[in-house]
Amino acid sequence: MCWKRFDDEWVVFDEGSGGTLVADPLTAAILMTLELNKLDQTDLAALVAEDFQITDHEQLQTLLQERIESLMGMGWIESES
Amino acid sequence: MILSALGEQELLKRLTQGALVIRSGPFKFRISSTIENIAQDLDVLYADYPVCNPSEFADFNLALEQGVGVRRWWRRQVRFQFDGLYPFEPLPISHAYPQLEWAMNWCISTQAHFYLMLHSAVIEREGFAAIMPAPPGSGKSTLCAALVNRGWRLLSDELALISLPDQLIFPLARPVGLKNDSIDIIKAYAPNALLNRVTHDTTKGSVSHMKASPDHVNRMNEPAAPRWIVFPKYVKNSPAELTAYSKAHSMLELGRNAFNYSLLGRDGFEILSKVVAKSDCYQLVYSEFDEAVSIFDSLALKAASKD
Amino acid sequence: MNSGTNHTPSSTDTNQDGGQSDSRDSETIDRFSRRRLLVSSVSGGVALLAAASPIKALAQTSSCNNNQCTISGMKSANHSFKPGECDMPCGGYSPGYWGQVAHTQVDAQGGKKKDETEFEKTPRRSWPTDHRQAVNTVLMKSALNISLFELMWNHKYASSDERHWICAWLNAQKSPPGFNFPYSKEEVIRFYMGDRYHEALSFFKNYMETHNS
Repeated sequence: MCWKRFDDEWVVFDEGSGGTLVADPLTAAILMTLELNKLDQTDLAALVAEDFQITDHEQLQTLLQERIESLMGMGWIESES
Repeated sequence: MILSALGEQELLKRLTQGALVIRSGPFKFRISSTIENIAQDLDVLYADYPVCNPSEFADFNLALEQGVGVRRWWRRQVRFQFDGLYPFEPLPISHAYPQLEWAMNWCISTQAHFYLMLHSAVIEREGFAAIMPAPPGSGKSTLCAALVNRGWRLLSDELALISLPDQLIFPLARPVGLKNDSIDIIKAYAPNALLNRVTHDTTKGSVSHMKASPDHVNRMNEPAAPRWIVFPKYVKNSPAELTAYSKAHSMLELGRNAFNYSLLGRDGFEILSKVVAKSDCYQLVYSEFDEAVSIFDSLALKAASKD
Repeated sequence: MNSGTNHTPSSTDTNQDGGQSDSRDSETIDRFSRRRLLVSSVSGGVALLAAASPIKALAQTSSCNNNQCTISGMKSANHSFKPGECDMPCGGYSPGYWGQVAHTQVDAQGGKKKDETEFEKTPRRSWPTDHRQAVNTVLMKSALNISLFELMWNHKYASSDERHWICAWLNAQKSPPGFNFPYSKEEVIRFYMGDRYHEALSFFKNYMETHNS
């Protein structure tokens, strides 16, 4: 993935699919974290919560779930079962 | 030599023999046709453009041919031929000249992948380019026509050609396409502008082309650096308003309005991001040309005073 | 969603140049730096969650009406392989794209097998249809009783017309992001079966096989 930052926003390009998206901080956090490690959702949530000092874990899980589903639907991330 | 120096007879002769090679920006078009309308409209709209030696290499070889069989005489047709192929269905012969302009755009947008090509109007002031991306029917060509009649240089009303190595934008300086109400609007706004005959009943309605000023044609070798990206939107009776727009979202919109962003892959991403990084991005809502022109002029003034 | 399922980015980094370990190290460093930059730029968890908004991306699939494509001005020129107007350019994937092999099969020791004769190959790319269908069930005039996928990966068929017809048929069902394929799969088959076979094939080969990735 290729990243460009404009102020507080990120644009990311996936060479594999040719897709481009504007990543809000949460989406950027998900993709950047997964770039470094394969993770399951629990570990991903834990890392993001720790890095960004998130205390509302329920809201984070809900948003993560939605975001991961969207990214999977767009082919940006995939599951290894 | 420019086209007007050929004279009517020589122009017709070169056109019918496939020996007319016209340069527009970085491209040479070899145009061949026996259709008289085409010669007449070229004579009006391309009078100031360089013509090349007939033996010179042309980037694109186009022919606007008359229909075959009965279509040569009855409900006459024109067919566009490119490299031996006929990419489009025939059209009524009265549509021959607009067909030529569209065919030239098609040639560039489908072949010239050594540029990143955006579907946008581009104008220039003080060496800086304003890119106005917008889908068809958004009024960008009309706004472009207005601006180039108020001190801005025409680079293109349709295609931004962005150089891959340095992101400079290269002009085509071709006639500006206008349709329907825009034709009379521009005639009223710029009474000295020269428009060719109107072609009616196309699928876009009535169309006409506005001749580019000789000064703009003479400067067709001068690129410009991207400086502003402005997404225009005509809203009836609305006062002109310029609002800053997110660079990230501007980049996405530019990608949507690009002909070959995906084709260029990562290079397209890198180049587009550089263009956006160098530019201030805005949305412009307007209804009156003078107000829109004033906003663009103030952008140019601000840029000139900073640099 | 199974929380025990691992997620990874779909794109895999490839580095075929020399000095692989150096460039991979620097790439990893870049990734860490970028993530640190993100963390430092967001003022806390509340800001992170508050800024969450629907993802905006370049269109992955064609959304034009009637599978039409053009640029401004072309609306009045009826494309001989279809008329129309939309605000996206036309294009499609190449046969090479469709023929990319996943090599997900493993041998008894768990290593990846690349022996083409031993294991059924599967597509690396997402296909819009069953890749195992026989060619002659889609292209009725063809004698090829091989799978669609084999037609696309096997070099033996590189110069066959069928490869390009199937490529067009697949592109009609899935086109590259931001591009539109101008014909439906039914129309592609009609051209294949009809008297404009050569014209259509030439168009697809020369103009519509634009994307390798």
